[in-house]
Amino acid sequence: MKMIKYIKYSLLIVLSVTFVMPNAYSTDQEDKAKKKERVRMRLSYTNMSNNGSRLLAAAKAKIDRSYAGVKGLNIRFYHDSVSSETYFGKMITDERGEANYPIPEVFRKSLKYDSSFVFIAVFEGNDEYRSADADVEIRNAISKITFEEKDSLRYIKYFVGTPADSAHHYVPAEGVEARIYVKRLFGLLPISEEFSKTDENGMLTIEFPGDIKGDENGEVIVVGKVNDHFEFGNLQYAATSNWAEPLAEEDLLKGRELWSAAANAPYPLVLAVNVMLLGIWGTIVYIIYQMIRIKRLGAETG
Amino acid sequence: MKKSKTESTNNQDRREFLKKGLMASSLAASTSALLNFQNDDVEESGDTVELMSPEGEIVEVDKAYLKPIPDVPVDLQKAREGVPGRKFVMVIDLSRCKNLKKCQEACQKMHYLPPEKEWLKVLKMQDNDITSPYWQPTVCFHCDNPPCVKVCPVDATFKRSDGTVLIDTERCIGCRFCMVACPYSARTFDWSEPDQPEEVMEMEYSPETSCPAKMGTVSKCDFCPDMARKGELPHCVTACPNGVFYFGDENEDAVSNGDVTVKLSQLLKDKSGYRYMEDLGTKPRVYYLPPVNRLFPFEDEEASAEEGH
Amino acid sequence: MNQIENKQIQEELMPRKFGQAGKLWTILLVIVILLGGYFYVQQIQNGLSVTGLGDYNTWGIYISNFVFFVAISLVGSLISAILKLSNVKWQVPLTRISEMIAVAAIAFAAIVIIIDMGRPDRFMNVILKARIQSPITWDVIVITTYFFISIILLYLPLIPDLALMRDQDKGEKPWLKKLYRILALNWRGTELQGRILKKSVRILSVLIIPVAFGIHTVTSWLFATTFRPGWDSTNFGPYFVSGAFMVGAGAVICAMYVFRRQYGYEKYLTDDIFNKMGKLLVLLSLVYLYFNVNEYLAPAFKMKAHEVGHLNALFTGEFAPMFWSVQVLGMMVPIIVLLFPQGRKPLPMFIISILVILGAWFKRFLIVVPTLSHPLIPTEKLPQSALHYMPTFAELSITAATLAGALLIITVLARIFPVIPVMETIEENYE
Repeated sequence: MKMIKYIKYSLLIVLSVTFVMPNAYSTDQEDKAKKKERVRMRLSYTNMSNNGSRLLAAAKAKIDRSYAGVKGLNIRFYHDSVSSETYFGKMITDERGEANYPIPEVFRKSLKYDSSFVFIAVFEGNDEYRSADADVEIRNAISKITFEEKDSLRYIKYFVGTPADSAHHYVPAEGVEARIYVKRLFGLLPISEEFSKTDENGMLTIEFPGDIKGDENGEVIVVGKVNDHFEFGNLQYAATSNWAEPLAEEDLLKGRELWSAAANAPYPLVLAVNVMLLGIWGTIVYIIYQMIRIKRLGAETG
Repeated sequence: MKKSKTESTNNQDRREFLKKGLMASSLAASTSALLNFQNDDVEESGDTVELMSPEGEIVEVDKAYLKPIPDVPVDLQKAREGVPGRKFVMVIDLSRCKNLKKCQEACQKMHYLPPEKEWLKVLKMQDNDITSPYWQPTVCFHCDNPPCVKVCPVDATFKRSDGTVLIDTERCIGCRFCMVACPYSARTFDWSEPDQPEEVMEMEYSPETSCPAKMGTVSKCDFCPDMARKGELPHCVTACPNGVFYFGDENEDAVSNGDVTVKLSQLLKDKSGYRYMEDLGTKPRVYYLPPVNRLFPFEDEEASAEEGH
Repeated sequence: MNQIENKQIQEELMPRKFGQAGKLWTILLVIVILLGGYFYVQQIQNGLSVTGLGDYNTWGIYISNFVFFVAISLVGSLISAILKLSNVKWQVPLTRISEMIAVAAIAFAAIVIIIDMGRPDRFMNVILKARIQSPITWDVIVITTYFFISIILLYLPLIPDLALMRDQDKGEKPWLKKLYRILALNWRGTELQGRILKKSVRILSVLIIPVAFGIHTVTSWLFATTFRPGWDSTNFGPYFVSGAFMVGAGAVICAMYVFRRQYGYEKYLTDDIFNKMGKLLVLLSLVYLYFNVNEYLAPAFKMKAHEVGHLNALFTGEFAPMFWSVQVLGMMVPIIVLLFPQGRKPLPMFIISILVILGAWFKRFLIVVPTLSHPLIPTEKLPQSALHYMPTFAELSITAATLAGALLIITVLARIFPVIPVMETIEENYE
């Protein structure tokens, strides 16, 4: 219990100075332990609309004279202010120094729908690193992708808007920089121009490119994104389309090649080797039979 | 045999690294559904962690209930077949390489390779006296007409549906014909008992991870298919600060260098991609982008250091 | 008259107990084998790291020694098949010597290849998991086949002699007597037995020729199926076959001389046979020289980028002393000396045969090693130590043990079986 009080106390100090130095700070007590490294923290918010929302806390510190992600830091997440009431979750940073925390739906729903939120990520410090925190203020916004076919032309429409009321009405957000991608195995392949902005209807509209490769059914995941918007943070929406080129996969292993596995050896080779083997070993067996004959003949005469 | 001091500390680091890695991955996995309350024998540690239940609620759980999930590789059958629906391909942009060797460092570290066993080499290329030299990172090319696989007498090295060429060191007889057959000298051999951290020795062997190494067998760059299965890029790709390496799926016609994702066909068309020693007909799955409009001037520090003396 | 002569031939050609020299020789061989065995145990424990091999020079003297053994083994088919089928009479006293050499060499070719394996414990994979596309699988098949045919071809003509030894009352050890009795297959020398035997030997003599060409061609493909400089050649099959004939002939001449001296076989292994073998060796050497010219001249004329390093290393570089010694002492000198009748006398022939055999061993080294020291990729940034191969003492000992092992097999065979076919010589005598 004592421990918790202490943490609360020190966190208050952290918070009070956070406004002056929002990115990194260390408490007085920890200053005495000179060898502790400073941690730089960044916090960002992503609303993935149909896929929940996330807080990404990235912690970096100077390691061997260059900044690198710090693994294993315990990051605690708060809403509005730092107190035990506003605490809603924690996560430990991975190898890249990132804690990508999925905001629990129950908590997310408890927030007021059409307002702005402040999220705070706090690292309380440990034996190696000084404490650090970061916050992010975002205005609630959503984005959504729809597909439209008009005059045999196919369009992707990406809408960005802010909620007008709780009945799912949205005010279009005009002039928001957005981009549309196709999901690939190792990243997102952009298919819209860079720096494109939404129009007065909050829409970014592009034609579905003709040369996008999908799976066997021509399905592909189209992703719309708004990155680092000054009010909305990050927005993201993923939707599946079946307009892509269906995968006509050519099976690399279908042939009987010299490099195929033993079971798929080329027939002519198998045939040739077996014919030779049979011919030669057949003769050898015949000679061995002749030797047995010699022995039998000798037994008869002897 | 005496181990040098630096070597043993290196091992220590590796061991530490591995332990932490396992911890981290188990904790990351814990956010989904990793609660194991069935086991009554567990002694509570008093140390608790908070997890999110599948319903999205935060629950506090004693650490002792967490079962670490080690990275269990796919079984041998799957490892021989390949990642379904994929055809892995690599593009190496020579105009961005300045021989930093971060790729090699990462490769050595992540595969626990001793210094003399290099799966990734950075070669100094100079076609003739007049043209400028350039650096060429060289990996296994995972050829579509692989000379190494052709000559293997026991199916120990094989081609998979996803294009990768792997080695089953539990079957390899160590004849080294594949090493001789490979025109790119991509293959290495474990001449003695490999010096590996205990954790690596205890790992479940899979041709996809190439770990642990075994004495008397051949190994090489494996395109990190265990990473690709998880949707992650090979270690060399993510380690390069200059984005030299692109890796991706030919079926998707896209490659990523960790920073950007681009269309493979477009990239090869725009930058005149080519393959090393195309005339041999080995059909590599690794493409090079020529060293034109370079980001860095060519500098050979080793050579100039030698000249200085 | 004939009766007495036959008795004398029998007496003279029966295998004899070792004298002082024979015993010493055997002990020496056993010591060399034991030393190699000791190092092989080391190799099993510590892996191939006891050798001088590396990731670039991944094949070394084990493989070149293997090729050497395969080459020597070709002699069996040369003497007992090709010469026999072409109705050459003087080959009769040489058939058994050459088959003994062939059996010993091919057995050790197989052993050497297992020694070179990183995982000999997995040898059964070669059979159980065999990939028919691999030249190694072909080699395993053809070596096994050739080994069996060679053994039968050694054994069949031996049967009448075995019967002879079974029936004589000389004081041999009981186990030897028993061995002769079992192996003699109830041979009574009846006309039908004789006919079957003759026919079988003839069939085998025909059969062994394609197999012998096969074993050497397939061995050459272990190299020619790769992209390496010096190996990437369509010439390699005949090149290897012709080289094998040459060293095989050399090996027979060497053995002939030793047995002639040791057993006093001047009457059987006559000067005339030496003279004829000398002529044959010249012919075979000229064929091999012709293939050598082809093998080196055409690439040297073009000097392709991939080949330059390799060719220069042979002609003027690191390997030049060995290369020119082998070409001059192992090929030119034998050809020139053997062109003169005086050169075809037993002693000069013996010396020449030693030169030919040594030349052939080093020639196999020159085929295997310099190529691997010159990979196709630029070597400037590769670890330079990895590009220079020097066999270790352990490696040399193991290799010496295999050579001694082959010699020991020949020695033991010569101890228990007549080195010159007795019955065939008697038959010859009648004609």
